[in-house]
Amino acid sequence: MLPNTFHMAQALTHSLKHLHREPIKTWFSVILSALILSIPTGLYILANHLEYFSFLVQQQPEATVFLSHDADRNITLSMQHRILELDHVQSAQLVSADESLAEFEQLTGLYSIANYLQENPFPATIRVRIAAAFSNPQAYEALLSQIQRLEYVDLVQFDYEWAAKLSSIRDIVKLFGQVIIVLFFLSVVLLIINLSRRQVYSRTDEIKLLTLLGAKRRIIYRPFVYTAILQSLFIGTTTFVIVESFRAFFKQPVMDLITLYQIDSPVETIQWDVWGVVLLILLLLNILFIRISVYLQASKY
Amino acid sequence: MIRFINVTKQYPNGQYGLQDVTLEIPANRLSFITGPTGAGKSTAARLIALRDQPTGGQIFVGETDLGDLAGRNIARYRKSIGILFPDLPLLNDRNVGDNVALPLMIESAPAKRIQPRVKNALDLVGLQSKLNFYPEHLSDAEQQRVRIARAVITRPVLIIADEPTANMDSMLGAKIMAIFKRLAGRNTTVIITTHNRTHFADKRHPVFELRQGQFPSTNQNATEQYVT
Repeated sequence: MLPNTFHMAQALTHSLKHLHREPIKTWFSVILSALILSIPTGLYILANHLEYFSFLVQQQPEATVFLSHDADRNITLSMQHRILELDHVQSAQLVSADESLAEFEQLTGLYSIANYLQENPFPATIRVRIAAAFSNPQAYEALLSQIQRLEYVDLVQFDYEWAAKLSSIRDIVKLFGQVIIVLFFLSVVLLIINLSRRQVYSRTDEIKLLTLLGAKRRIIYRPFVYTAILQSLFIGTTTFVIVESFRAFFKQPVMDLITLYQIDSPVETIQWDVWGVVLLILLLLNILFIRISVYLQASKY
Repeated sequence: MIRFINVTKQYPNGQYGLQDVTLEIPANRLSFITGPTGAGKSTAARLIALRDQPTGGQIFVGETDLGDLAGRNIARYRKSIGILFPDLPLLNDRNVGDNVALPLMIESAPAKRIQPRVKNALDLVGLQSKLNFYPEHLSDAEQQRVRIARAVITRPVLIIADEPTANMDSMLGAKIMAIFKRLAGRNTTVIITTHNRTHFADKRHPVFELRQGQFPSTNQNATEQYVT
C-alpha cells in the first residue's frame, strides 16, 4: 500500500471509529440535520410539482368562440381551421348549432323544446385551447382580440380573469416558497456551522497535539474532513429517506387528484438531479466549515 | 547546546514567567530545570518547545535562533523534537500502537517503517504487551510511559518533558526517570522540569534552579554552578 493511501485509510478508519464511539451524539446530530434539511428540500420538490401541476391546470380554461348565424357548415369548418392556425392555439373543437341544442336539451331536460322553436337559436361554436407555453393574462387578451377580429365571429368568451388570478396566486405561493426555502437553507447552514464547531470543540486535544507535534495543516484537516464527508453522506441519505417517504405517502392522493385533470405528472419520479445538488451542497458546506473551524483552533497553538 | 540569552516572558496579565534569564543547557545530556511551583520551569520548557514566544531575549537550540522560525519552519522544528507535557494527553479513540505512531503518521512514514519503530518504542517503556489497548484501560503511570514512547519514536535530538513524574509515587517516578536516563546521551539531549529533588540527588546531571522566574544569581552560568 502506498504511504499516502495507508495514512488516508488510517484517517478514515479513525473518523469512522470516532463516529461509532459516540453513536447517540452522531445520530442525534445526523437526524436533527436531516429533519431540518428535509424541509427546504421537500418544499423545493413540492414547489416543482406544484408549478408543473398548476401550470397544467391553468390550461383548462377555454375560450368559446360564438360564430354568427349565417355561418354555414363550410364556413364553420373553415373558421375552425383558421383558428387552429393561429399562434399558440393548441386545439379548436367545432360544436355545431345542432350539437349545441342537443347539449342544452340534455343539460336542462327540455327535450322537446326544439318542437316549439321556428329555428335553432344556438350558433355554432368553437372551443379553443391554448398551448402550454402561452400562459400570461396579457397574452390571453391579445389572442382574444385576434379571434374577435375574425369574420363570422360574434362573441368570444374567454375566462382570462380566472387565469390571471391563478397566475397571481401561483406567483405569490412561489415567492413564499422561495423565501421559506432560503430561510430553512440558512438554518441548515447555521446548523452545519454549529456541528463543525462542536466537532472541533470535542477534539481540541487532537488538534493541539497534532499541531505541537509539527503536523502540516492538511494532515490535521484530514480526519476532520473525512468525518465531515461521512456525516454529509449520512445526513443526505437520511434526508432522502425522510422526503421520499413523505412523497410516497402522499403519492396516491396526488395521483388521484391529477387523474381528474387527465394529465401526466412527474410525481412518480425521484428527482436525482435535486438530490445530487443537495448532497453536493452538504459536502461543500461541511468541508468548508470544518476546515475553517480546525484552522481557527490550530492557529491557537 | 540550548542557550537562553536574557530571556523574559511576561504574560498579558503582567506577571513574569521568566525574567532576564541567561543559561546554557549542555547538549547530549540529561538536564533538570527545577524550582518551586510558579518558579517558571514550565515556562522555560514551553519556550524551548516553541509553544510560546519570549517577550524579550533570544533562545538558541544549536545554532538556530527560535525567534527566527516562522510558518513551516516552526512545524519542522516541532517535528524534530520530542515533547511530553501534562496537557498533551493520549487520544482516546486510538489504541496504544496508533498513539505511539502518531509522530510518524504526521511524517507520512510508510507502514513498514512504523510497525518496528512502535515496537521498539514500546519495548523501551516496557509496554509491548499493551499495543492494542486503549488509553482508558491503562493506569496513569502506563499512560505516561506511552506518552514517553510517543515522544521518542522519531528518535529526536531533543526531548523536553514537563513534570513527567507528577502525581506518581516515588517507585513509579524512579522507573520513569530511568527511561529518560537511558535515552540521554549520544545524539539526544533530554530536558526535564521537576520539583522533585530526589530525581537529581545523585548529582550526575546539570540542574538549573529557578526562583520566581529568575536564577538566584543572575547571568551566572548555572551549569557550572550546579553540576558536580
